[in-house]
Amino acid sequence: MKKAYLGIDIGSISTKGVIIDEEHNILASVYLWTEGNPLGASKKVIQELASQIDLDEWTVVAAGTTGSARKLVGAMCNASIVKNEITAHAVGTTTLHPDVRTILEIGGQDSKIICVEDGVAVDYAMNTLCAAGTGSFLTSQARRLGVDVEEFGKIALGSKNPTPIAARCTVFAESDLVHKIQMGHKKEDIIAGLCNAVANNYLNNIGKGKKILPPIVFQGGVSKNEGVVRAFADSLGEEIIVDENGHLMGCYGAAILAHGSGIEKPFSFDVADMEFVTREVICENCPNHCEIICVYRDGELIDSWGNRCERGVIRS
Amino acid sequence: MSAKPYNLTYPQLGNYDIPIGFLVRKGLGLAYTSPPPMTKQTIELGAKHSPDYVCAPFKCMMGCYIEAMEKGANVIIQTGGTCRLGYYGELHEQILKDLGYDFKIMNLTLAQYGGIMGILGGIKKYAPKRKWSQIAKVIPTVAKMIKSIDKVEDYMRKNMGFEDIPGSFEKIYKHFLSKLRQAETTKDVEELYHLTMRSFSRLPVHKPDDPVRVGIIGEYFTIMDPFSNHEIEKKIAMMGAEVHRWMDLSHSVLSCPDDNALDMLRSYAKYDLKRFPSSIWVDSQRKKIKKYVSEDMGASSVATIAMADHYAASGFDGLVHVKSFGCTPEMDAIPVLHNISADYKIPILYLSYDTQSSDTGIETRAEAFYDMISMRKEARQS
Repeated sequence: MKKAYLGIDIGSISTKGVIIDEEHNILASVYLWTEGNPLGASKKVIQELASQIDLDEWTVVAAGTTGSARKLVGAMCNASIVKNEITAHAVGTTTLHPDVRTILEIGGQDSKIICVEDGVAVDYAMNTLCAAGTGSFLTSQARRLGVDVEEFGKIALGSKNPTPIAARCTVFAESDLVHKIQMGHKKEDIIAGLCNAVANNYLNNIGKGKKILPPIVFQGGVSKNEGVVRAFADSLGEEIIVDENGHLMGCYGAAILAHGSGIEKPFSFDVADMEFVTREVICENCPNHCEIICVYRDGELIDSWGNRCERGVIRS
Repeated sequence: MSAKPYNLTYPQLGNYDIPIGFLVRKGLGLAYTSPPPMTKQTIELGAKHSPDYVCAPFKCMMGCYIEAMEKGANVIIQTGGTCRLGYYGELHEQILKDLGYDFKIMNLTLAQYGGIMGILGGIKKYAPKRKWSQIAKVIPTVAKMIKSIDKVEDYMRKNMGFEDIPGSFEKIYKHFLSKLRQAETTKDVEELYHLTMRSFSRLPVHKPDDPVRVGIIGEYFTIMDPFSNHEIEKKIAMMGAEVHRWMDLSHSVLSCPDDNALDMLRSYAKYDLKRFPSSIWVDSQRKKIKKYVSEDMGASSVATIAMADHYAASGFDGLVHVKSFGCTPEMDAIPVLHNISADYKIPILYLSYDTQSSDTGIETRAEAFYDMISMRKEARQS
């Protein structure tokens, strides 16, 4: 039996999974929607991953989780490592693109920039308190314009005269957009303007004060939008690399980190058939009212978190 | 105001309610009510009765005042400062009066009292029968308390991340705080301090020769209050880092950072309430950062830049800048921090706090920051 490593990235919008070998080659990969059910989506990912590899040949010796539901799914799959998505993305991307200097990333709810030197992240920034210019903004504007967000990029590329749209803030951008629509601007120009607004908003906020050096890799859901890719290329005057596996970088990084942790914990594909239930307990010991999450596997408490102090500890 | 005896209160800020309470009780001979430790409820209460765009410290203070008055306080203390904080006393007073609270405010700003003698007179008004000598007598104990808290916490930040027994530092620290509340004299405080430091030094730790070092810089209130900054120092320390923070009451209101005695004397002589809390350190620090700034941008901005420069020049691995959302002096400092970051090639994590209660976002960013600077250090060492 050869050793393999599993990585899962559970985001707010999509859940991604890979299995890699010891040389970090991808053996299996899955991408599907989270649909508000991180445990269910992860089970589906695990099932599909199992169907893509020969279980008599490979045995998963360590699992890693990342993304906003990393803790929950980490408890479910007995993960060796539970890592934040910034580290996981940096590790994943620098493994596939060892010479990368700048990683731009725009996801469903967040955006970040990672600066790399000699294959090691040396600086990063992530949006705080505001989700302006992320994927969910583009999705809601697509709905307003009656266009599928997947079509956005292609339509934007058809524009010769992008409409200028205020980029500072989503709320301002939206009222500016409505105004421009009513004025009679063409749809493709407005869509191209929106793509430019997303890129400019990113560069003016997350990218502020950062040296954006080539090679530049752009990833996250929004990197699938050719309009935004072109806007970045125009603004920065550099080639923008979009990897076809760009959406897998988080889970790929998590799998590499699980390998690197040196901690081997038994992982069983059977977790996909087990019942996992979460229960929220409000701690009444002080007015903080910590929300404690308890995770049960087939009725047995396996983990809990969310308490700020020891008075809220819940043990099995 | 009813004829009830005075019962003073000051908002929570780290653990400084201990020396402030001591000053009021033993020095002024008045009752003191500590606001309950801040919780989500404090912030919610404060935010509900505050203007939306005001900074988080205003909302925290508001919540503390309300909770303390519910516990029986009837005189609230406000100290002012060199940013918007300078007007907070008046605004707190107006809002709380509108809410129907019956209280007096000891608003220690120049606008109210005109000068240092006016302020002292203003304080004395609440304890008319108290002799000046009785008040002055407790000052050394209060100063000792502040210095002890700051030194104990400084030692914790630098070492707790390397403890062999989980929670060993925290246990001694909690004991220190509870005993400090019972201290009566300078000698009590001194003995407790030495006992605590001895206990700390006996704890088993495994600290590498060249540990990851992180400097914390930023806005006066948020940096000193662990509840407001979601215990950012402890979070980063416990990942395995030596955490440094210069800003505390010892450094900002008690001791001058000047190198020689003459400059120190000069700074003390110039102790300027108009520039509280920055008057004793702002000039000497500004001299050191001439290449970055020519003017003081108010509040703690000079200290933020001076300490960022100092930590960067000392080869620290990273800096964490904390501020309340919308804090103007600290926002002005950010472009300068960008320059320091580029000049010394030191990453800086910028955290902006409002009244959000979730820890997750801060944890994610802090963990990613620690991963980055520790991996970078490893790559450099190999």
